[in-house]
Amino acid sequence: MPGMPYNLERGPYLAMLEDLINRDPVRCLESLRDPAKPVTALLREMRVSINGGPYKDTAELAEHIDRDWFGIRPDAHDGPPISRYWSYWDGDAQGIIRETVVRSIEIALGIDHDADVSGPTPHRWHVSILTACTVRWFEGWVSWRRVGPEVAGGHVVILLLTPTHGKPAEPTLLRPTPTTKGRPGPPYAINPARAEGDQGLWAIGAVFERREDPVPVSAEWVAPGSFPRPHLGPTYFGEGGIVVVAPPESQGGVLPDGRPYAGAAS
Amino acid sequence: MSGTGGTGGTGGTGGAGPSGLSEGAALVQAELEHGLSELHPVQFDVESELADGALRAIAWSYTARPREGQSFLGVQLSTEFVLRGVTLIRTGPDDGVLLRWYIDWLDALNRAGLNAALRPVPDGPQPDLADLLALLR
Repeated sequence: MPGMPYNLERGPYLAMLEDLINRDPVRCLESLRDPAKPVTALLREMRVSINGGPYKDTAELAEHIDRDWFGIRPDAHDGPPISRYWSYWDGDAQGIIRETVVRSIEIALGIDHDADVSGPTPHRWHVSILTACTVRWFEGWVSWRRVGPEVAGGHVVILLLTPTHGKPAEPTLLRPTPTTKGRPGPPYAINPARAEGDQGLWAIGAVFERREDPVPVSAEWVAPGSFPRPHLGPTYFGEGGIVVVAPPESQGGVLPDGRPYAGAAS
Repeated sequence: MSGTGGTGGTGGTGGAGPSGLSEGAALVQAELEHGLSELHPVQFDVESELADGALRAIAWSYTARPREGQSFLGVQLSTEFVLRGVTLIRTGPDDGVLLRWYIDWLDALNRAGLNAALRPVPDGPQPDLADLLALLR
């Protein structure tokens, strides 16, 4: 099943963006601060092969993001971009992501907004990125905290909340399913006993979210006093117990030792 | 035609009651008021009414506002809104009066600020729980 079969993900693309930021945050910040450059310029400037997913390198990924996330149409020379990926929302997704990542890198470097980055910065915290689909409109969130007694240690988390793109979410964390076929790739694991490697992403939920459709309220003749109450949609029943799953990277998971690179990053 | 009169009888549904509404329309109004008790009725309007023998069709609009502290369709609302629908009323010698409700709930959802911009699950057959549990072994 194409798309985003889990509700939250990092996956190969955000892992790639994360690595670009963490390898050279100042360069990424300077690129993102330049309003003449699209956000995806940093992906094109630091072209890296991606051995996973439908886009072979960061340049192809940039085209996808420009087209589907940001609504940038190379053949349209006037008017604002229209995000065409998101149902029932139109807005400046690129502007939101630009501001979110700029602010995140500034926090990671310990500098004020728009401050000069030509000299040393107070620290260089690690940046992580996750995305979750379905809120009503596009928002970027940034969370940070210092880790340990030294100011040099810290972590910044970006959470991109997006409107729906209409692609179904699997009603189970387990794989395979009738619609997401084949063996799940690494680091897929069920009820892992140990957090392997230096990073990871686990999901905890019911084995199966069984869908029960309501009876159409207009389907029957009813006597007075039996007014049919509407249902806004199916009700899901979480069944089969609770399971912990490490999703495969190809479906949004995180490789414990990071992404292997097939090309130079700079 | 409009009004906020009382409930009509359950025998016939064609005659006009004291509110000026037909008995059928008054029945629809009373059913809405009782069935949607979380709403405070403001106005009930009959937009058209057709009859064919024992069958009567009433197109109506119902203006209401949520009662304080109560939600409508799971949503906390504060201002009045209009619900629209068509109700069929069938009168038979044996089973009395029966109603069939066609309410524009989608419009009601829109007015409640909700929409269907949610992620579906895959259509078609659902996974089998036994198959999923087998993956745990």
